[in-house]
Amino acid sequence: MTVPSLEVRDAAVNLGGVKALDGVSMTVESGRLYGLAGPNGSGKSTLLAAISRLLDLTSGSILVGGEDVMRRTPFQVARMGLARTFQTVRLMPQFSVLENAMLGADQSVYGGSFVRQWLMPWWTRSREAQVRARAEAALERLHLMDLRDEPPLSLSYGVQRKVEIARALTAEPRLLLLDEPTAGMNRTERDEIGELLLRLRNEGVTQVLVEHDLKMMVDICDHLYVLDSGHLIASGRPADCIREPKVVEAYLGRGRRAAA
Amino acid sequence: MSSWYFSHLTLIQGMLISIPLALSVQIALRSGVFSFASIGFYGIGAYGTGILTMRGWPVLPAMLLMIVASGVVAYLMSAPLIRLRGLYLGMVTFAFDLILTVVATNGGELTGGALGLLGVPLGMTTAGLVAAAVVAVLLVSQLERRAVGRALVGIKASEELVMSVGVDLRSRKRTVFAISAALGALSGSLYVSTFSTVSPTSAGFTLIITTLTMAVIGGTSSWIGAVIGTVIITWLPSLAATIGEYQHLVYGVVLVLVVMYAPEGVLGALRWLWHKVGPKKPAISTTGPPGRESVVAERVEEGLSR
Repeated sequence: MTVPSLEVRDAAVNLGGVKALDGVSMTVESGRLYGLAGPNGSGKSTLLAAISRLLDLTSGSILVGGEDVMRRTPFQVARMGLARTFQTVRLMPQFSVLENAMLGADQSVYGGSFVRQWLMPWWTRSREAQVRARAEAALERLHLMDLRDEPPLSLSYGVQRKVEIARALTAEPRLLLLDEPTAGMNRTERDEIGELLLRLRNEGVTQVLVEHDLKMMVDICDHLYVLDSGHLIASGRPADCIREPKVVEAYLGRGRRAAA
Repeated sequence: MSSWYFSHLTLIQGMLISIPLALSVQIALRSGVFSFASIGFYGIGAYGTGILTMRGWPVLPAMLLMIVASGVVAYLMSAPLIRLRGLYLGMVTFAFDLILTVVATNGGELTGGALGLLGVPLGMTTAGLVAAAVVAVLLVSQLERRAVGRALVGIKASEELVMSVGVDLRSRKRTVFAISAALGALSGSLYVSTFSTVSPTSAGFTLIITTLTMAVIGGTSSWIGAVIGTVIITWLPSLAATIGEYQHLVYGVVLVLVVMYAPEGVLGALRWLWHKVGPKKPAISTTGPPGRESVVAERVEEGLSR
């Protein structure tokens, strides 16, 4: 039996008296694409923040590759092979698209102490080239090579989101968390991203995808988890999941369900 | 030329001494660490080097000791400090500077009280000042390049971002804090061994404002900005002699104007100009800013593809 890539056990998060997550458990097996759905404010982003250790759980635990990470810092979890994108785009305006993507792999490729990174250009040269090659490969996959030297803020929102994904891919993660990667994209771009995620899945990258586009989730995910008000209300095959009365109710409200 | 040089020697020396100090504020601000602690370490460097050389130490070992000690003390001190965010860190480090001023005033014979240290042995040549400024620039410019540069700028963009790409945020911030303090101590040591005196007011409120003005007017995005700012703030008063007594008022107004209208400083303005008049790259048609038209186009496209 293989160790699951990610396990969340009875996770709870209290944010100033509000239960953002309440007793959520989920298992994510290696090499599969999981969807995390739910209406606004249901706790999806909170769960991703907890998994990447940017937010502490009030109770419960999280295991990455079978290892309890509750005592790990975010950067340590990142070095275990976890990469993520953010719901709000986080790019460095001073740097080009390429350099923004390079940030994703810097630490894993460079390694070494701060002083080495700082004062030994001869030591960093080959590493810099390696990071650049990785970043270019990631930009290639997202068809961003033409824009590699542009400052990111001059680009449309959808393209900025792609740079965000490229940065995560540059890290060559084993576990990838995507927080609404296609927000602000048109249908063609969304389909492109959907295909990319499927290809990554076939390459063995485990993924957890948060999306509002349920159609996309049903099309590409192996398994769907649905949250509502911090509770896990459904789990299973995506097509079945979205038909469950609880899920329909969470998305459309009680009245609509009666009407349907 | 040489008569001009000698009549302006004090300004030239002052400018060279200010470069490491302006850099110390610039690297902190650039990495999103809003700290004025390096001004306090400027005072520690000046007093420390002064006291040691007056007791017979040669200048260079005294300077080195103060620089290294400041870096180490700052690194230890930073553990609780870097938990503070933004302005709170600014306020605490500001208080740190003012407390040191009080300590220097009340230090009795050791610090010379309100008068400060007088008759510190002169041990610094202008060539030495140039060398120190060049070394400081080299060290700081390397902090802006490659992985180190991206990680530090990333801190300012988003702390969660740099943590999520595997950067040890706490350790990076502490190291920046220590480097900033060492640069401050360097500048103070240079000052005392060039001008042979230091008083409690030389590292007080006025210096904080002047140095901050240098870094912000020049632009905090690069060491070039700090150097430009230092040059401007050093020569501005002598060029406009009339502003003499209103100097700090003028600094204040200029600072506010720059922050409001040119947040990236002179360097940012120069870059903008270069972008306007410099060589044009071929425009890429598909990537306009997300204006009204492109949103409409996107919606139309979306409609068509359904």
